[in-house]
Amino acid sequence: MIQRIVLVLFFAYLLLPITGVLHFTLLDGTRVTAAHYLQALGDGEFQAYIVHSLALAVATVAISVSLMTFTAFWVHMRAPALKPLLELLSFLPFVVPAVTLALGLIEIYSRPPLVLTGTASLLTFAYVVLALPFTYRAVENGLSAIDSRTLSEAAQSLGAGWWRRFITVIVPNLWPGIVSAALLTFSLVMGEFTLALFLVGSAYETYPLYLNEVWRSDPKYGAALAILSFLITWGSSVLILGASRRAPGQVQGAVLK
Amino acid sequence: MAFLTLERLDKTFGHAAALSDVSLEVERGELVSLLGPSGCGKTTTLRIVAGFETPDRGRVLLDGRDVTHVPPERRGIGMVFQGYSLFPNMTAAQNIAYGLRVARRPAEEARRRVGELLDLVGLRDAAGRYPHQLSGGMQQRVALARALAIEPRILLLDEPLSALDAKVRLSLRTEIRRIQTRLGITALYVTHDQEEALSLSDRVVVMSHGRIEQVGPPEEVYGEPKTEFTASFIGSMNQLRGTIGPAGTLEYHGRSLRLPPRARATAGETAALVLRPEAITLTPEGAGDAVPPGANVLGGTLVTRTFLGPIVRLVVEVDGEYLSVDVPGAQRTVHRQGQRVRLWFDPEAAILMAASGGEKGDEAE
Repeated sequence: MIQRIVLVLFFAYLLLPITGVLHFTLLDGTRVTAAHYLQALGDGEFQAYIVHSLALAVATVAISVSLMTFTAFWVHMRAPALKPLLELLSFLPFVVPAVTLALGLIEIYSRPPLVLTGTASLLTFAYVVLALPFTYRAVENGLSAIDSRTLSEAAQSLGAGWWRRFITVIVPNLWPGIVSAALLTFSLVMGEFTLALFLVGSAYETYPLYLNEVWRSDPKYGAALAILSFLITWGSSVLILGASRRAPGQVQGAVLK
Repeated sequence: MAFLTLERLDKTFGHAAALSDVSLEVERGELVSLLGPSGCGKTTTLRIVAGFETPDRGRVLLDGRDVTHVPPERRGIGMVFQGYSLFPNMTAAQNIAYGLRVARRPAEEARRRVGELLDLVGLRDAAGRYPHQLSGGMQQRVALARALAIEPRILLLDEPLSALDAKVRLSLRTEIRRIQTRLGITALYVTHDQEEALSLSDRVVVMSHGRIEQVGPPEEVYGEPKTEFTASFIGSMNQLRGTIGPAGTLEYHGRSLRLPPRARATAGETAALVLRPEAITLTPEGAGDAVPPGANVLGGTLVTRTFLGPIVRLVVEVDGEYLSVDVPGAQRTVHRQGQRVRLWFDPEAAILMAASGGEKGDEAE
């Protein structure tokens, strides 16, 4: 009973600010209106920028998750001594402030041989790094939970080479961890502001940037966009979770009775 | 030439020597157990045969081929792990078919083979179930079927029964042996359970601290231990320590004990007569039971009596030392604590060991 009360209070706490914003966007004085939301439908910029953000998110998830799954598994099997180092590296993005990261990246990538400043690619790579703590942790937890070493060795004893083991045995059983990593990365990118501002700015404007711009001049519309952003991110997460249900087979651990 | 040869294997992990100069030959169709306590090197040996570890020195020869540096996936091995080795995302049938799919066998052939193996391990009905829907014993049977599906040259089992209930262990043990003999497949079996090793194997390899202590058929390893480690690790052993007297007997607490005929000893040296609890006969003092001529006789006091089911273990105090005597559980003789008893044994049933722990006799290696 207490649990239920606490849960309700918790959700109330989470939803209160959103409810407040909703209230703000749905009322003009005393009149209830959906005008601020409908405004988005005719707004070409809104559509373009939401696509930008989604594209970045998808690209980041694809690169980050596949890269980290591969790396985490490789280190787990071939070089377990490197794990502490990898853990340390994966935590760096937490430690380094986003502004510092942005300025550092600009320093390096504004000169030959690799001039990437102002491109979406640079932002994607930056996001991959930013997502490291989430993707590595989620995947590594998954690896430990499924006794990946025994599974991998079993597959090996049956004649499977490295890639085959990875694709047919490890990835399917890591699926929950991979989905977690994907979800975390996706939400991270959808809401990221600082790096987008510094690295790319208006060259490839993302949704959070647009939101920030709009909000200064038209608070009601800006607030409506914020709610839309929340709904879109939430909706996409549900879709990703839905995809995870249809993933290869049962992934519960074996139970020896 | 032996089917599997391990030639002078050395392996160190960090500063610890896991294996020192381990050599072994296994004939085709044999089931050989590697038996010993944790850390003795038995699993390391198996993993080197499998290819998951490479020895620092020495070679592994399988079916005429030097496979020391060949990766596991190309050695033609079949391996059964201790547990949790079935792929959770595949059914029992899919698990068994895995190796066949990797080897690109035609689908029809694979299907037939999976069916054969499911029948072999008695799990036809469980074909479509996932590992988490199977009991521990069933999982290990699937694991065995999976390892056999690809017709490996050698079957490697790493304590496959350790994680199972006692009853399941017993029935599965017999089944593994049955299948192994029926298929005539060479097998290497790692276990720390002596009963398992003794009941399953054609030969037992007793290991300790990275070395082989003794190799031989179960009866030999049990009945004729060659080193103190083997004697104390396998079953229980009584040790009667004393000094060799001038007449070629062992002086033990004022009694002269006859040595086994094979024993060679020098007067004055310390040695021990080592003997199994079931080799001693116990009679109450004064009961008048006949003692065969030439038997060694000791007198003592009964201290404890423990009923173990098939046997009753009696502990007798003899001149400050404690000896174990096993009598059949069905024998209904009443034994009372504090009772004065006579112990006798045939000198041939004992083994003479030097103070350093090696057997002293003509056949000592």
